[in-house]
Amino acid sequence: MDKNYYKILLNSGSTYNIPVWLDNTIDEMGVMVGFDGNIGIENHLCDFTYITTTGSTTIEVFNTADPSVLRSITEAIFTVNWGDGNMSDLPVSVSNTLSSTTHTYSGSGIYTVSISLNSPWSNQVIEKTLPIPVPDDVFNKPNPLGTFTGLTIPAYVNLTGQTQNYLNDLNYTNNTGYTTFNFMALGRSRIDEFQLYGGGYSGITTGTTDSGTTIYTAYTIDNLQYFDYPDGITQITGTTSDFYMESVFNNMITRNEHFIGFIDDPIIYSDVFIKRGQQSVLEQTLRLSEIDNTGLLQIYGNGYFNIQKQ
Amino acid sequence: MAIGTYGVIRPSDVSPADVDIFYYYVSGLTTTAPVTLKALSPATILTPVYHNSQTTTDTVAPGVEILGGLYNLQLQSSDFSEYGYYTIHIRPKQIRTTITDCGVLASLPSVRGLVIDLGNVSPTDVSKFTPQGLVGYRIEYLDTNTSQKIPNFYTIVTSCFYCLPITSNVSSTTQKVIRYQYSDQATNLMFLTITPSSAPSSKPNTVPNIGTPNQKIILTNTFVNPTTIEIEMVEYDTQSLAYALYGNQTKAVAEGVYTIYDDNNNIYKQYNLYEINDTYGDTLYEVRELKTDIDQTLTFNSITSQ
Repeated sequence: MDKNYYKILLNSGSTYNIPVWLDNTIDEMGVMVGFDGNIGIENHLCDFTYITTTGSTTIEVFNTADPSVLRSITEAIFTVNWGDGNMSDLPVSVSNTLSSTTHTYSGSGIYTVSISLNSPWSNQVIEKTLPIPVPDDVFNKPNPLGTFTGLTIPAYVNLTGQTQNYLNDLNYTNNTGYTTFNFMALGRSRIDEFQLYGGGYSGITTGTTDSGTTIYTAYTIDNLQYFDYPDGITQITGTTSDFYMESVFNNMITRNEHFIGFIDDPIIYSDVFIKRGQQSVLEQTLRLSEIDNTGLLQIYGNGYFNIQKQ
Repeated sequence: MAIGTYGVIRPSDVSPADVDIFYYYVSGLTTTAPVTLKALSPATILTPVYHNSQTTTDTVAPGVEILGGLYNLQLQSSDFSEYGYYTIHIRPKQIRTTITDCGVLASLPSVRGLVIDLGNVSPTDVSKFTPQGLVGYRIEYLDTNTSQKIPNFYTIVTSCFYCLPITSNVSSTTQKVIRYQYSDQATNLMFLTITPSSAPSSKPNTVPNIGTPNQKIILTNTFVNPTTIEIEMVEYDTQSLAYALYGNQTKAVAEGVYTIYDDNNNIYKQYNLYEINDTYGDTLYEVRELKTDIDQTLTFNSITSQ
């Protein structure tokens, strides 16, 4: 008798139980055309940050792997390679505090610090290059929401002794109705432009230390004060004027809006780490540092911009 | 190109909720009456067979893990109440919906797919529309003009994820186009990549047909092969015929009652035996007639113990 044929004696009031065999023909189709090269899942489970102080040869590395992702990865081993032949284990944190390890270099130099994830299913390495000791050329950027003082500007505006509290000054309701906003930014030197067009611009002033070393060259263009420092950084300061109650925005504005127009080239620090959130397993996740051609940069833009060559 | 195609037949472990069961009845194989299908509730009548301690040494699987392939179909006699042939059809459950858009991913414009608005899916089926929940489903298409299913044309879902529509610039024109971006968060749209969705390398300018917006489609899971079971409802089976041939029998001569017993000496059938004579007392016929009011005193044990 065929398994799919049954002869049942009719019997009212009964329940008939019939064994049924169900099978399933399946085809594994492999990788399809549309996904060639793009189907790989790139979960970057391995990452780190670090802190140090200016001039110090000691660096503290934090394991920033997400414990929520790694909670089931019990066999993952994180190892820090300090770039000088020394290595340290750095387990992922299971608490709210990032786990860290500290290392002191015996000498100065450029070191490639890396953290590696070794697990049965994934091996990843993240590298960052650090100058040891950290040079004393880090620009001290003021907190835009806080108060900064003590900037001596040898041009037309002298901010010495002035204070700027943006939150309070923007709150015109509690002020007298008149305020001046001081702002500061990083930009590109315009001294070439200054020297080319000369007359309409204010003169060059040089700032020196007590020992006579030049620490900046200052000049004024369009009522903005430019300070060119020897390390290539140009600091730009300025003030707003004629802001009365009626013209003060009753909103918090971002400082970037002030800078539009005089910052020609954005500065991208090589140690700034930007990681776009992974949208799904089928999308490539790229770090900024992984982009080495315009095609990848377009993918990184995720549809928000395209790259057009001039 | 696909790197390989591998096929295998495996015992199905499909959930009863993922199948449809229909049946129809004909009184005989020569009947010309039209087929009228009726639906049965798979969740009620189809039960998978689970592992027990004899089928596995695992301590967790018994009673929990489906053995695979073997199912029990429980049919009520009220549904199968006529002598004749019942044909039961078990097939994967179908989900009907409409293509909202045929789009591309913003980040990977070469990947085309179908966009399904979950608002166009039946509330009973929308639970299937989860990330990767429709992989392997077959898509069949309905003709937009005739509403008939396009024969012999189907595609297979290779991935599905929630998505969001975004406006993108395109380099070829100054216009903006709608593209789609995967979303890890649940949205009301689902992006289905299907096969084939890209052009063959030998003819890169062609675009495979994956459907058109507003076209109705039928999504069918591929968890189980469709199968058909034929059931013949009969008055006698080989066992009951064996009672008549080989079972114990008695004949009450005076009463003229002929009794046939089953294996347990229970009364299976009882007949009246009598003759029909002519006016001269000569026998014309000997008759054996089925007795409907069973004489329960004529049990086999009571007769043979006298």
